Amino acid sequence: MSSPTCCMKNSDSFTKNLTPSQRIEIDACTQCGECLDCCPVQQVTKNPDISPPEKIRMFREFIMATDSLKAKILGAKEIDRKLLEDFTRAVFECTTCGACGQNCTVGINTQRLWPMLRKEMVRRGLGPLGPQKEMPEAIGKTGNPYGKPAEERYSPWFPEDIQVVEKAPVAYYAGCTGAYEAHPMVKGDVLVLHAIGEPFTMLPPEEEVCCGFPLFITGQHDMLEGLVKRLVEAYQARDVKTLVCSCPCCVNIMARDWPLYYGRELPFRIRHITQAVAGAFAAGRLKIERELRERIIYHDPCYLSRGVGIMEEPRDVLKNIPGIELLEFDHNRLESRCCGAGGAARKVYHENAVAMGRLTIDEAVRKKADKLILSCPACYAKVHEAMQDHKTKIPIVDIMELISGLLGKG
Amino acid sequence: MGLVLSVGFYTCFLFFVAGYLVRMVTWAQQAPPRVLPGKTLTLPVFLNALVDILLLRRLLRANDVLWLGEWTFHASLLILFLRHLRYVLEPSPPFVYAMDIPARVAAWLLPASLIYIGAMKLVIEKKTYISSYNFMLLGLMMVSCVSGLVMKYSLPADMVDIKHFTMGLVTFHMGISPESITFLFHFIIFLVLLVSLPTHMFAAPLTMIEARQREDELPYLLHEK
Repeated sequence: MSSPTCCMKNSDSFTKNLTPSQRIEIDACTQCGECLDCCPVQQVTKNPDISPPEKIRMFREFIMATDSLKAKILGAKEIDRKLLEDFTRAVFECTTCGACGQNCTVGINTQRLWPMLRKEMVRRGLGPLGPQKEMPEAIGKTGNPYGKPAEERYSPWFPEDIQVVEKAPVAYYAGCTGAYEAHPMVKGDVLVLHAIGEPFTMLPPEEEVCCGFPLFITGQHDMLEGLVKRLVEAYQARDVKTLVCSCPCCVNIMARDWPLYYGRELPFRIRHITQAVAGAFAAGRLKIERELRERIIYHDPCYLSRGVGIMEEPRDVLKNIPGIELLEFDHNRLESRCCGAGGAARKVYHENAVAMGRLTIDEAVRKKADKLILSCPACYAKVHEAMQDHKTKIPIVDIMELISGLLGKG
Repeated sequence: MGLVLSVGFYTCFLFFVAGYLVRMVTWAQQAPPRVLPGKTLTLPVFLNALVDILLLRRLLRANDVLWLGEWTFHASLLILFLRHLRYVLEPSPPFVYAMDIPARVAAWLLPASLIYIGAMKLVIEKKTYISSYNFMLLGLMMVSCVSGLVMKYSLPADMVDIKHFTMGLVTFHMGISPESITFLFHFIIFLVLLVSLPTHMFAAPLTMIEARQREDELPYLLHEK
């Protein structure tokens, strides 16, 4: 963390990181508490002290102490440090899945608000928490938040018989979590892209650095501009017109925030891999001959559905499998329930994440699904972890892992 | 007493207005350097948002049973607010007269809806998150309703005296306060409510407009228009 926190007082304004809309959102919360019914953290902790309306109430109190009429007349009030620490823990325990915002009775965009409140607490030297603190240094040294060597980014999983070209209109970004923690997923991506038949390019492993999402979501924004410019310029140099990625978090920051950190519109468009694959199926460039007589259930990743509105393409892709029966979770599409992996909270609040992952597994089993289909590397890693030592088991498969296997190239 | 009530009124009103002005200045303070450029609000989106606001449509989607009480509460409050304008407008505009019958109904519906909301949250749904501030407001509203009903049906106050006093307040000619104790009580509760009004009163409609705009744009973030 390089923000100057040494001279910051607890009475300094709390609104500096917020947009005008977000400042209004803080005031707009009616404290109705309806969002608790859909909050995955509430489902597993049953602790209203860390609920969305309570976080907003606390933050509103901070603003009242420093920016209200009373504060303007009588001077800003020093806020108790314990209160600030309690708030920091609450806002970092959140998975930032945005389900509360989706069900908010006044429409607060919480998926964007929570990261900004985290940023404010980082600015004050109170966040991030635990292993999240190591991410900037790890990214600085290795290009990824896990601190793994760049030379191991592709080598353990990249299919030997597939060649990428130097320059192409289409590029594939594997992403750190996929490349280091969800090998079958990124391998599946590459196999399917190859099967489509259109040449695609990739950056060398030392150039494919973190997209910035882990830093963004944990409020550590200092390195973002550098990472974004480095990646955008690298893809631009390869004449890329479409950047394809399978990680919902990467896609989210690329589509929503990269233009802001790049300073202007991106010179290429961002697409999720299911868009490219659904398009290839529709155009007849991909076809699955093999039948799969199974009941499968698809989990919508929060940052893919609520984040960037990709909900039908994954289903369109799965419907191209002959014999398949596609089931739905009770909470699907915009209403999907977080699997526990979101918001980098899994790194600190491991037990919550495992409990949430098990809720997803249990529902899939209850609905008699033969396979649980995911399309996010963080979900993939965490739900697998949640199944360890859990009484209920189900095969967990990434969507492109499944498709590539049926194409006969796995 | 008239002077005390008048000073109380001006002080509370000043706090209410100044508080919101400061709040609005805070809203409009310079945005951080990196924000998405503002998008143009189209008429269809605005009209859709207006329906969200007037019908509390998001609450309806989240909890239809609670919505019934909340919408009745908000609608009744609006009707009673409009009807009360006759105390500060001379001559009273026609819509204030038109509110006579609806206001008689709303005067009963308002406390009924408050009881319904409280019962729903505490007894039926047993919400784990209860805002003490909201319940304080609910209590104040209930006291205000009851005192209003008592004044209307049980211990009537002199309407001419009340209008004389309230018109004096808005024209800065402080007059004698009406003698009715019920009125005094009703008026003091109003002043307490004025300085305790929730922050969402003005902010929530703006957020609902923005939410509608955001939802309309979501499908086009990664798709061609």
